[in-house]
Amino acid sequence: MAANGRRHAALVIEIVLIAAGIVYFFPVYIMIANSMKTSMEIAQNPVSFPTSFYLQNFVKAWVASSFGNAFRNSLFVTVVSVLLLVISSSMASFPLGRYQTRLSNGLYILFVSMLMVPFQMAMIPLYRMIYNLHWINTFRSVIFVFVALNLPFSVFLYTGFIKTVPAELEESATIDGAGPLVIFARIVFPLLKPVTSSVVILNSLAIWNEFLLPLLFLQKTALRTIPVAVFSFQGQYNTNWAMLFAALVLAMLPMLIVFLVLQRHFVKGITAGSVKG
Amino acid sequence: MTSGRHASPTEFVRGYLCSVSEPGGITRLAFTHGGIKQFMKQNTTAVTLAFTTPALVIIAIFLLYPVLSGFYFSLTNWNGLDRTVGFIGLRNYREILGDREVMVSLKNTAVFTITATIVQNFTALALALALDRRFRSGGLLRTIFFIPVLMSSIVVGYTWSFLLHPLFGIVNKLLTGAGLGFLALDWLGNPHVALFSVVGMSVWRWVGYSMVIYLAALQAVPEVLYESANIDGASPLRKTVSITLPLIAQAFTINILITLIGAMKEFDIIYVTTGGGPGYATQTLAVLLYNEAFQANRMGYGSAIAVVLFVIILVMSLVQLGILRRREVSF
Amino acid sequence: MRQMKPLFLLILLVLAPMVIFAGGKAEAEPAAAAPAEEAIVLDVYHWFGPEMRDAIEEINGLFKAETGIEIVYESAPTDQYRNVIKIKLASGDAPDVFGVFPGTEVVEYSDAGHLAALGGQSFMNRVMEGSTVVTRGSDGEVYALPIDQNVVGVVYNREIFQTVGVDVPETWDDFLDVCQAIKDAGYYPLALGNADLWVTQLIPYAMAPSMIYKANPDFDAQMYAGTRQFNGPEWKAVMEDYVELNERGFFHPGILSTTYDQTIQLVATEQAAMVVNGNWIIAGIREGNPDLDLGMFPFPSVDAGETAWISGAVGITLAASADSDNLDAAMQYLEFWTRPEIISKYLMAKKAFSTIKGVSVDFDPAAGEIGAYLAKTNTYPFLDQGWPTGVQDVFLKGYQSVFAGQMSIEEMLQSVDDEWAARVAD
Repeated sequence: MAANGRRHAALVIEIVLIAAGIVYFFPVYIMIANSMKTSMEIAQNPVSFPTSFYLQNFVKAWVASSFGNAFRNSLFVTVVSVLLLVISSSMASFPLGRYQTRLSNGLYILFVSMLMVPFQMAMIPLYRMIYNLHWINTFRSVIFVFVALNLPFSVFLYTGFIKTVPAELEESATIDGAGPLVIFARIVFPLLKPVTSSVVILNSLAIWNEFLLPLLFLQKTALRTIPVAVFSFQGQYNTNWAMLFAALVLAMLPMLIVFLVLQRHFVKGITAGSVKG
Repeated sequence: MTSGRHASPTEFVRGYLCSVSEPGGITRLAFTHGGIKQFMKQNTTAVTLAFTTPALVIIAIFLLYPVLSGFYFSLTNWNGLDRTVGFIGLRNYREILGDREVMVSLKNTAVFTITATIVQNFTALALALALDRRFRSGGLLRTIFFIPVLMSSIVVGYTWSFLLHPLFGIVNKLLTGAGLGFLALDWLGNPHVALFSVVGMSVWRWVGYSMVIYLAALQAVPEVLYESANIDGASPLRKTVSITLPLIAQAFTINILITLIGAMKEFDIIYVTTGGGPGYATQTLAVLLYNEAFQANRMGYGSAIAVVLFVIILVMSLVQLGILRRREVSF
Repeated sequence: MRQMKPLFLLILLVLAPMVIFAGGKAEAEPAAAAPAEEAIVLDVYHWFGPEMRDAIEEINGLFKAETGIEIVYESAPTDQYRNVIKIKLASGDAPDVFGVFPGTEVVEYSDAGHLAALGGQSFMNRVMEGSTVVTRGSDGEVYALPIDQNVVGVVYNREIFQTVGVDVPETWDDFLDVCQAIKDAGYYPLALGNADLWVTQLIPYAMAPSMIYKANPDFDAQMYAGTRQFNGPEWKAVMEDYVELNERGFFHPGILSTTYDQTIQLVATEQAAMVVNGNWIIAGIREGNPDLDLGMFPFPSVDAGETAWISGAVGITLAASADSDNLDAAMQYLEFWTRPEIISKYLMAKKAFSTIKGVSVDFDPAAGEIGAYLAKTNTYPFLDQGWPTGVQDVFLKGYQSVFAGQMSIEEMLQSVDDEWAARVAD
């Protein structure tokens, strides 16, 4: 009897979830549907199903925004930034999570307080600095700024998680005479996989969709990242919505794929091996 | 393990680590060279500095320094254009205290933040709990709820402003069709409702983000605990309350903190959909500071507002961390 | 063996930044190589939309063919452009030639010393007198070259007018009657996109020239002197007319949540008969429905027997940076733009009116209709071009507040006066 009740509850939950999913997905459907309509169709009715799948939008958008080039730029910037982020924030979290000294606590507070800064405050001084370094129109400017902006959050995540990872394994390693770098690299870091996945996904996302920083520091058309290239379809008054939507769909796809691939990763029993009985 | 002598630099770095149990049940790593207490302090310092240097350097140069400059601009009357900057001390801050627009924005920020944080976390947790069990449609749904996070603000703004239009928007058309015509409000144009509509859109956009974090935390809860609870015959509700919730308290703290900070800084969604309107109904401090700094050419004043916002966020975060940290449980 | 691993990691950590630096350098290299041969390169930065890219590239190509000067042209969407250009100017990274918004912004940028004066340049003789009024600095010198004008008026669907049986109204009372007739026939008379802040001001912009500035062209000067306020009979009359349109139901429901794009949709799908906006909206509507028979007439805020003044203003300008290393080349570029055959190319693509004497481009039959009026009457610039920065923003929010019922007309006008006083004092 109880089992039956439980199955009913499960079914109800599933139905509610699916309904929520449909409602949730609707705006996304609009974006995809509009990317396959002509401008005229969109102006007539933005929420209708496309009458015919007008795929030229994608081709035109690709060419007009030099999408292939923008894609390469976005890829480079995102991959390098995320790599740097994962390395530097996981390393920083090691002492911050394990030690309770005034130094480690102080640094932790420093990092987390940087999370709260509204970016507008730092924008102009930052530009001045990058300009004085002659780093305008170089990739390193956006990379380092991305990393700096996202470090606080990543450090926060890693530190929090590291505290829940028991230190026994590290103890046995030190008895074997291992140094801190080795311990970190071979023992601690692999245990941080769930957080690493989250950090990779969340930061890739933030950096891939970031519009303002590449706009400021990568002004040459050849260096544009995807968001900047895509929004070039916005005119002063009139916007080319058909091409804009098509470009946005194209822009979203890589992130979607990354997410699909990685989320299966942290679904697959990360619990195995992280805790001993 | 040697003791009773000072470590040479190479040994220092390679070091001999072992774990030491401290009162309070904390386990930490320490060097065990002689003069243990003194060396432990020194050496943890070394490790701390060594490991945090890359992050520290990057943040110091590319974030800390510009932010401090921003602080400086708040004490000036700079308009963002002039080559020279005039120092005016705290005059901007005095003006803030008397600025009616700032007070309205402050109120809106408070309402927006509290509502969005509660709704977003409640929804994200519920979704994560529901999706953690293996439903057939689990993987697909997980992706669907996350997709809005992948979209850019302009698309969110465009699509939602069409959906919510009182005349041709689908939302109102459906409501009227279902006989709920009295609920068909002017979602973005009615000043009393607009702020909550914006909260709704913000939650729609970001729930997937919080959900992912909760899911990761749920994954880390060991199956063993559930299994032994099952043997004891615990109900699903009992299991959730006594096992799941306490063990994801960490994720809870993290998520509340992030959504709180994110909501206070939220700019994109509001700017793209209502622009702070109608009138000042959805104007938050983040939108106000952008307008002052960049539209009205009052960079000094805008920076002062940014500093005020920062202080508010700092205070709220510390308070929240203080309350929630104490309730965390570790293995 | 174990001791090797940490070394390995360290090496990796050291290599990574080098990879980045290398990557960055490769991008910087080509730019450094260019100056070697003394070829002049001008950086041009503007907010021209994507639809203008081809025309601009063509003009730049013709310029290069004639002078050998290479133009490196970049653009950004309007809002972002505004922010980026300010940051660039503040950091000393000014482009050689860039766009400045006419009116107050020209004053601010020139006061800060960023713009080169154009007064002595002979090509300025080709420019219409009236259009340089809004490109002058506080010293009266001209600092930017105006290259197009737009007008704000009423864009209407001629077919609907025929079906309903009304003519183009020439007085305010006629206008109200026309709206009523259209409403009775089942259409929305006017589409209004007040969700977008910049749209809220357009109807007052269209009204004010006839209602205020025709009788008193020095109104703004008097405001600066303190003898006139917004919270006075002139502006109250404007606001009351604006609100009256709403109270008589001549707009569709939900104006505060309707965007500019949605008004295009309303007109394109023939649900609305008219929309008050600039001539730029014609292109947008045509894209939504190319078959419409559109026209445009001036907003008739006048009584019988009087002629309405049209709200028309310079839209785009080009300015040369005072700090440019290639100031002569920049001036050559600006001169090139004033040539009739060049500016015509631009205007055809932009679908705007000319600021160069003797040049007239027939870019759209609907615009042609109001063009005919332009020849017979005066124009007055878009109002914010004469106001201190910050006042317009309070006005825009104020319009929304009034329609949302959160402020009375008096309160709103008073709040704008307060902002004016504060800004002027700065």
